[in-house]
Amino acid sequence: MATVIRGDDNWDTSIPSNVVSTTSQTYTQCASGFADITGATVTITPSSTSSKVLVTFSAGAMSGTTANEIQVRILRGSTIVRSITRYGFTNAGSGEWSSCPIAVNFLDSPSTTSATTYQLQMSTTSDNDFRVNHSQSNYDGTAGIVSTATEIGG
Amino acid sequence: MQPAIEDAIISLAPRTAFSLDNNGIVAWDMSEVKTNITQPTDAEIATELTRLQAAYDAQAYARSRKAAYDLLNQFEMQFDDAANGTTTWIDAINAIKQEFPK
Repeated sequence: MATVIRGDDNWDTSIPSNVVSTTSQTYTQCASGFADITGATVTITPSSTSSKVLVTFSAGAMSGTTANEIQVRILRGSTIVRSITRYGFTNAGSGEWSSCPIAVNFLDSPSTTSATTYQLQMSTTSDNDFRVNHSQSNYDGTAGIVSTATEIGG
Repeated sequence: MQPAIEDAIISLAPRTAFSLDNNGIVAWDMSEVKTNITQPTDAEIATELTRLQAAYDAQAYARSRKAAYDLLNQFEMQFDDAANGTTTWIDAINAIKQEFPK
């Protein structure tokens, strides 16, 4: 934690200084059943067991075909800490695509001072087509997937 | 959408989850629901991409025609032709077909 003086001349020790962020340019093709979104992972070591961790994931994604339900979940290690059963639903026609950007966050209480890894997983129903960080075979350049973990409190 | 490597892989291994970067496939069949389809080789992917590209290119005339058709107010043209005894609609369609032949 960083210690700063507030406007009322009192000390505030709650400003987070433990922030970890990762980026990735890897493309992931999702299918029926959950799969790790490659590169959408971040590891943080909390300074206190009472700390909370705000974890966020962002990326571009697109969905094709009809009646495509997109599901998402965040794992802490092997434990599911957030699950959204209908994160998105698209109904694109043949050859058409729907935008389904990823912006998922969760305020976790890991109760540990050990290194803690968060991983984003996604799934589609009916084996439909869902593409994360799709870039037409060009995976250079700026960060496509950003995963951030911020320790708060403690 | 012009076909890319991803499309070739999906065509060869439908319903299979995978990850890809500029160095090629970095994770294969990693969904909880496995398809057990063997990861295609670079040569197989290249061959399939060539096939998809040829199919895409063969439809270039259709994409060009559609873009031109979409610029027409066809119902209004047809109504005006019926009312006035003109042939503006069929003339415009024929002109587009001639401009973008099969």
